[in-house]
Formats: sequence, C-alpha cells, structure tokens
Amino acid sequence: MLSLMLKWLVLNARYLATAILVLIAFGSTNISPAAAQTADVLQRHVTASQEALNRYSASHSLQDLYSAVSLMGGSVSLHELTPQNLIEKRRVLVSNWAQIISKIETSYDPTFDPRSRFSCPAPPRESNGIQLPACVRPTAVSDTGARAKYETDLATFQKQLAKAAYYQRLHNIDLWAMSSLHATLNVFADVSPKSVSSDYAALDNILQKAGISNARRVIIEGYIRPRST
Amino acid sequence: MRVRAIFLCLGLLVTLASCSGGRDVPVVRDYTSANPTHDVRPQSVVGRCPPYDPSCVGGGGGGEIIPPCSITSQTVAISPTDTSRTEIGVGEQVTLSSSNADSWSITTNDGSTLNSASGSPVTLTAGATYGTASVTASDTSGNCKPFTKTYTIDSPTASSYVTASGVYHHQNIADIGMYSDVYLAPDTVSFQWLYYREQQATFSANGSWICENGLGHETALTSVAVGSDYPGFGSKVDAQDWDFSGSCTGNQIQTSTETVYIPTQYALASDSAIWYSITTVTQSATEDASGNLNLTKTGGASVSTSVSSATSGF
Repeated sequence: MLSLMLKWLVLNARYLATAILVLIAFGSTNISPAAAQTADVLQRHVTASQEALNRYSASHSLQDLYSAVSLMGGSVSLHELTPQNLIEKRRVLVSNWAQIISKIETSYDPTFDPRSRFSCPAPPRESNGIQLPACVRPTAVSDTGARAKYETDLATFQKQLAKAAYYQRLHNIDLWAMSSLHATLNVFADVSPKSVSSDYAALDNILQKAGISNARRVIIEGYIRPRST
Repeated sequence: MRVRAIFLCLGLLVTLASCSGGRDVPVVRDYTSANPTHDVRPQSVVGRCPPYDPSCVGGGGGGEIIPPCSITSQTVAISPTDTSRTEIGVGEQVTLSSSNADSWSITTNDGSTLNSASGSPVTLTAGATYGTASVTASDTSGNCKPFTKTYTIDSPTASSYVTASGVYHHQNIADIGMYSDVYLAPDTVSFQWLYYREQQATFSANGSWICENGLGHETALTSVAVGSDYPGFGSKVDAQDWDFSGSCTGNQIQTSTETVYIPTQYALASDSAIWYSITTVTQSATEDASGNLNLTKTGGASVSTSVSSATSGF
C-alpha cells in the first residue's frame, strides 16, 4: 500500500506541485509586493487631478481643466484591483470624474451658440465711393470714420473668434473626459458584480450630487452597467 | 483517522491536479460573484503550451500560453464615425485601454505622446506633422505578450472653400461677394484640435478694381478653431470666409480681374506659436466686357451676377 502510494506520488509530482501552488494562491488574501507598490496609484491620480481642478476654479484657464483630465490617464492599475476593493475604487473614480464633468458643464458660455456664423468684415464704403475688399489692413482705409468703424468690426470679429476657440477647446476636453471615463468604466463593467442595485444606486447618487445634467447621467449610467455580452 | 485525513487531502490534490491536467490553468479573477474564488488579473489566461504551438512561450509542452496584450482603441472625436480607425489627424486624441497590460510605450516620428506610461486608460495625442506612432502595450508581470498598434498621422492636405450663401452685389456697381464654409481635407480624420488661418497676401487688380491693386490682405481668420469632420468635405473651420471684391469709382463695366493668392496654415490648438503650411488658395473675381461678374475661391466656391443686376445680399 505504501509503495503504491509512493509510486503514485512520483508519477503525479508535477501535478501535485501545481495543485499545491494553486491552493496557496487561492488561500492568499494579502496583496503581492508588486501590488502593494501600486496600491495608491488611483489615489495619487485622483489627488493630482483634484489639485488641477482646484487650480481651474481659481484660474478659469482651460489648461488646468485639461490637466485635470490628463492626470486621470492610467489611473486604473489592473494589478491593484481586487474583488475586495473594486466597488470602492469605482466609486472613487466616478466621484472624481463627476466633479470634472460637472466643472466642464458649467464652463460652457451660455451666450455663445456654436452654430453661429461670423467672418472677417469688409470696411464700410468710404466717402470717396471706394469699397475695399474684406479683411484688408485697416491702414488701407483712408476715410477716418470708415476706418474707425472697420476697426470696431474687426475687434468684434476677434472676440467672436476667441469665443469660438474657447468653445471648441472646452468641447474637445469634454469629449476627451467622456471617452476616458467610458474606457475606465469598461474595465470595471467586464469584471464587476452584476445586478447589485445598491451599488448602481450609490454610483448614481454620486453623479446626482455632482450636479451633472440628466442627459449626461443617463449616458454615464450606460457606461457603468455591465455589458450583456 | 490520521491516515484517512491524509487520503482525503491527497484526493483533493488529485482532483485539483486533474482539473489542471496540463491544460489551461484559469487565472481569471472572478469579480462577477459576490464571493470571488479565482485569482489574478481579469481576462488574462496563462496555461501550458500545447506541443504543436510554436508561438507559445517555452513551447513543446510545459511552458505557458501567453496571449498578446490587448489594446482597445477609440478616437475621442466622434466624427468620422469609425472611432476604431488607426488613421488620425495631427493633434487628434485616441483613448487606449487594455484588459491585461499595465505598461505603455510609444515610438513616433512626429512628436506624438501618451499621457501615462502605465495603467489604463491612457491617451495618445498625435503630433503636429505627418508621421506615424506605434504604441506598445505590455505587462510587467509577463501575463501577456507585448502588442503594438501603429497609427498613421495625417496633416491637412487642402483647404476647400464651399459656397455658403447667395451672391452679394450692389446694382450698377462692379462688386460681387459670397460667404463660404472652409474645410480641411482629408475627411477621413479629425482636425478639431487645430487652429486655421489665412496668411497675409497682396491683391493684384486691374480694370474696375484698379484701386485695390497692391492692397494687403490681412492675416485673416486669425487662429480660427477647427470643428468637427463632415464626411465628403473635411473638418469645418469655425468661422465663415467673407469673400468680397469691393469696388472702385469710375467705369464699372470693363474687362477686369482681382486676384489674391493666400497661403493657408494650421497650428495645434495646444501650441499656436508654431504654424505649418497647408496650401495656397486662390480668390479671384472677374468681369467681362458686358459687365458679367464671377467670384471663385479654391475648392469650388463660386457665385455669378452682373453689374446691372438688382442689389442682393446686403
């Protein structure tokens, strides 16, 4: 009997070793050293992003808002995710993104219509009957009254350009934030617990508290819920 | 009793060994149940090599099957509608994520960048000029084989002006004008991270427009933001172009031309200090001996009228 057992052990040593390693792995609840080193990756990203967002609140410079989004790049470390921390980490992420997106929404200029059209003006007809083409240099306008009007029109045009440029830059940051959030939540949607309504409610509560528009909340909730496939 | 316990343990080990059986060892951490039992990272699969798989690390049996690292790529711009494309515009952003890689690197000849070298997701921002960017995803724990995705980066190749209004004209005066929309080609990428401008140029004119000969065309449309892509046209510049011949005093009906060749440029919105050439567009007004007027601009923008026609547009 003993010799049979020994023979069996020798024949199956390779598989036994594998099984023992699997058991050790299954039984382990500690974070590996590598994971421990990255345990604060998410928090470091969130803290840096929050600092940029705070700067934006004071500066109103879109560069700071851009930084707040950019600093969330790489915020999810796969090595850091565990079943135990997944729910909490997703809430931290959603909370920070909600603050960024809320700030983006309130940064749009309600007086600017992105569909409005504007263009470089032409000087008014001068007293000598000459009408110069559009966008000539103001020094070419000899009639002082016409030149003054033209310079005013050019200044208005420059303001419209600045508003359009601001809108486009903010819109691009907006698209980028939503794209990054979508990609972030996709990672979680693949592996998160399904049909845990209390978690969804908590996430929705975070979005509501941030003051995000209803239309956008619906979109983000679609990102959060696990995909059916 | 002790012997029975030993046999029970051995039985459990045999069962586990049989499950692994030299085939794939599941290492997917199961987050989908309330009490997960599996371990390691999501969606990675490591197992033993089948002897016939030469791509398998340590192939010939006994090694591990290591899948390629995944890269999910999505352009931030939603137009063009193919957001998985690898042809992108200068300055364009692409969101990259991976289900099994934790490290990123980039090789580029146009200054493209990644906003993070680790974690997920990261953003690729294309550089300022035509080129390529190869992004490699890898895993520091070796759970996936490095995988590279290469992007082609296009710069604007043309500025196209498309008529956006009717004709503007004063009766019995040799003048003609139109508004046109401006698009940057090609339409297969997005240039919405760019600024656009027309450079300074000089009018060359004769006949009815002789008073405008030598006039300087201002650096018009200074730093105009570029908006979304329109299929069939390109990325639309946020301001319209007002093309207007103007007019002089004297004989209004005679053979005349007024032409200006305008260099066009783009810059990254993030760095509008450096401008890059696109092309030179031509704006041309003509009048024949019968007073028929025509105005064109590169890309197909065109209107016609005659000196005697009723005032329109103004």
